[in-house]
Amino acid sequence: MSASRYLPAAQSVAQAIPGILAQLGLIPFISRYVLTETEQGHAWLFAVLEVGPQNHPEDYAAAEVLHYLSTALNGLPVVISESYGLRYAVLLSSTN
Amino acid sequence: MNTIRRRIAALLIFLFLALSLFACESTTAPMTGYFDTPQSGYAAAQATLDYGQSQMNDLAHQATAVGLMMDQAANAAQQATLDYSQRQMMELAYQATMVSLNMAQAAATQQAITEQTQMVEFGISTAQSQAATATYSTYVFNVTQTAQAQAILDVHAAHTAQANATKVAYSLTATPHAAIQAEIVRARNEADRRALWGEFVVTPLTLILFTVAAILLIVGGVLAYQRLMPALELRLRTISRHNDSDLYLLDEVIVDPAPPHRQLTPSGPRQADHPHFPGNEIPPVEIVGPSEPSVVNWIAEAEQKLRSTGRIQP
Repeated sequence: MSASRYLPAAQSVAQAIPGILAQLGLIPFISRYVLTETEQGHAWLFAVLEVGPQNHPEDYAAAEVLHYLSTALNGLPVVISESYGLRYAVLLSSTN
Repeated sequence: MNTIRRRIAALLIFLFLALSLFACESTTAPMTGYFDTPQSGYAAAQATLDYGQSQMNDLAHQATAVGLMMDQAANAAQQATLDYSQRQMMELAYQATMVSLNMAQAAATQQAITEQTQMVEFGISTAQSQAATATYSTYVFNVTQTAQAQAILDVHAAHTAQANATKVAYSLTATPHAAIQAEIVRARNEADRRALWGEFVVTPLTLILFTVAAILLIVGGVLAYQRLMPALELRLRTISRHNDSDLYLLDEVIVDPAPPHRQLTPSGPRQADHPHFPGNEIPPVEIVGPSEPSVVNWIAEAEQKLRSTGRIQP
């Protein structure tokens, strides 16, 4: 299945994330957005962050931030991916 | 017979004159009241007249001297000398009056004696003539003295007024004429210099400064509008912030440089009010396959974390 059907939702989320981070007082150091869909039908939008050590990366990974992002995105699941960089992973598809 | 009478009359006159001289030597004051003999009283009156005449002359001389002194004092604007001279003049006038009275009294005495005795018509006529002459001269002298005193007083008053006017004028100006002229010239030069300075320097400079200030104000306003418009737009979109730190415009995004990681107490997101990128630009989204090496790890890690939270089934 093509992930392009999630593209409008992905663009909407990608457009909203910088503002949400700004609400929290975080600088949205987002370099790019990546949309993909797994074989199980999970559509993920990754917001790749480029946060330097001087910008307190731990603030971006705080549970309060993730919860705030999820709530602001109409309850979409948001997790942090910290291996080989820092990125937010937003699950656009249904979890069922 | 006539010769004898004439001799007798001459003898009587001689005797009268001798007695008058004797009386004059015995007393120089005017004789008043009762006389022992008419000859002695007449001689005393004559002596009084002579003495009064000499005194009048003396007083006239003194008055002239005092008048000169008053003129000098008036010219020198010496008030004290003027006052002293005026007092002296008044005293002299008083003495002259007293002498005139004495002389008039003496003349009256002579006339009374002449009327009493009726002895010598010639002597009587002489005495009357002398008395009239003395009275007239006294009157003329008094009139002259009064006019002179009045003139002196007028001169004194004029000099006093002039001195006062000069004093007032000097106190008002208090500077010499040359100094006043120099001050006027200096003030005029100063005014001219200020006028030139204001016309050729201050006014153009003020105009230039106002123009530059207006241009800077306009440019500053435009720059501030360009710089702050995104923030204003963000404000208008009711973005609530929990700290008062300044905002940065980074990559066309309004950000807060102070991370509120220690005060992450959001008041609750507005689900239906998603913030957007400034300018409503849709960020590019890359679509990649799940088999991409970099994405594979991302997906695995994300699903693992999502499973740990129980949001998806393993």
